[in-house]
Amino acid sequence: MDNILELNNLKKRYGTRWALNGIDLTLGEGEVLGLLGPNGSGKSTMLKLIAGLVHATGGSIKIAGLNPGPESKAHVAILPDADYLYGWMTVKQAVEYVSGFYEDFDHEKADRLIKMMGIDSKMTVEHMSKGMSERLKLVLIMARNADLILLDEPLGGIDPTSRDKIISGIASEYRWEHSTMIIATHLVRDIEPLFDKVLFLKSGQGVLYGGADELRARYDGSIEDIFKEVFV
Amino acid sequence: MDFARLYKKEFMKGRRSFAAVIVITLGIMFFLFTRIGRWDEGMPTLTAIMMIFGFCTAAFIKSFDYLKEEWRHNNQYLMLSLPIKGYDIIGAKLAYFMTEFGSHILLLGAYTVMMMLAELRSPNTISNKVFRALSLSAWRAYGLCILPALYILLGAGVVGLFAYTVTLTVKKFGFWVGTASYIFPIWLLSNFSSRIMKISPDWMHIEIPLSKALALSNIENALNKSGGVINISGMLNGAYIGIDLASVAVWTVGLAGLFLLASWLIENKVEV
Repeated sequence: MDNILELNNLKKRYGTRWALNGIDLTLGEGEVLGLLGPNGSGKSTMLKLIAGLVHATGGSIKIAGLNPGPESKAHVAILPDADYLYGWMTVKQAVEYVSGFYEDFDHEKADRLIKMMGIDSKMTVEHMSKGMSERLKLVLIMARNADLILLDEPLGGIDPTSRDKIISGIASEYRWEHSTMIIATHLVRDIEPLFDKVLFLKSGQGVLYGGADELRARYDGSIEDIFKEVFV
Repeated sequence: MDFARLYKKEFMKGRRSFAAVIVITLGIMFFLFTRIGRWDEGMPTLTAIMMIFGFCTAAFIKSFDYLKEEWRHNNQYLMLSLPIKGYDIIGAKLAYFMTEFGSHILLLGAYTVMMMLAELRSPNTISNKVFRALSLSAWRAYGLCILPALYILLGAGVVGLFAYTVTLTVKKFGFWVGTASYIFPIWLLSNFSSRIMKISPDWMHIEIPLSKALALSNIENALNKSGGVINISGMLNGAYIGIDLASVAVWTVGLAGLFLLASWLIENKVEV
């Protein structure tokens, strides 16, 4: 199995505060990592570092053997925890715009996902509800056959209907054998069946790491139970 | 191709306000045309010239805004996650800035010349021949002014984008960092180019007598044939229009450097 992601002693400091302090991680093709931790634990920072949205203070990142930069970004699809789409764009324009930058964008998959998520292609982003806008963001990510998919709180602030659609979208369109995925969340229950591995972060440091099944067996409970035990 | 896609996005985003400003400007110019002969002589032309200065000020402010807009609406997450080079990002923003303000300056300049000629024509005291000679000079003046104006506009765009990229990099004391990174490169390039100009060889100074550049002899001839004895060329004796190639080269290299530095910063240092 080829390594898609290698983090070595990864550190990030904002001013005097360490948001991430010495993370080591290796992920191979087809693995799904649950990145768990409370707010401010460094989950988003870690994903932003991998996606090249922020720059490391120390350590190294390799994505498909590349340092973060324009070349590595072609391998990464990130769903940030922010409404980043241009409000004036229609769904069709947003798909057309984003797809133009990626060779791995699958238009048929995008059409299928748009239908499945119940999104109106003529609608402009600024007129969408929070749930619908999250679903559109997910369409733009999952329609790519990216080597590494990063989802930052994909279920945050979403109503149960949209939540189900998002989970179904991820499960149905994820290339289980070929893509690697990191899902950062503190809403563990709904999404934990997807995890192969889990990394618990606390104050920027990894406090627990292992295979999802192995951890469930070791702690005799679900990942959500372990999450509560570690952080509460 | 990335540049083209980014430019198209900028254009699609700004096209409505761009078109609206063009229509409003046309409306104002039409109104000013209707004021010729009703307002004091020269007032419509002066108002049109003031509008050009207004657009220059707007261009200065807007040069910061092109990147600021991305951060204001969280679009930087998308922009910085794309597999594109920094020079494509800065280049597309600069190209749209030039499209928008270059068009406005070109059109406003042309309207102003037309307004001035219409004002000269309105009292019906000049012959057709004199008017034709004046038109030629006025359009030559427009041609001579527009190229440096577009170059200055380009420079303002580059420095504005550079200054805002520096504020995004430094993050703290935004206003002061932005102001310093706007003023310092201009001061440095002005200083350096004026020193270079003093020592540059003669062949790098290109000068044309103003009377020749503006074809003022045509006006003289036309006026003199109408019975007057006027020597405009004589009055402007010693007035030249010209450029120093060394100085232009310094500015061009400096602006290219700032463009590349801004591109490098956005690719390697700027964060969401």
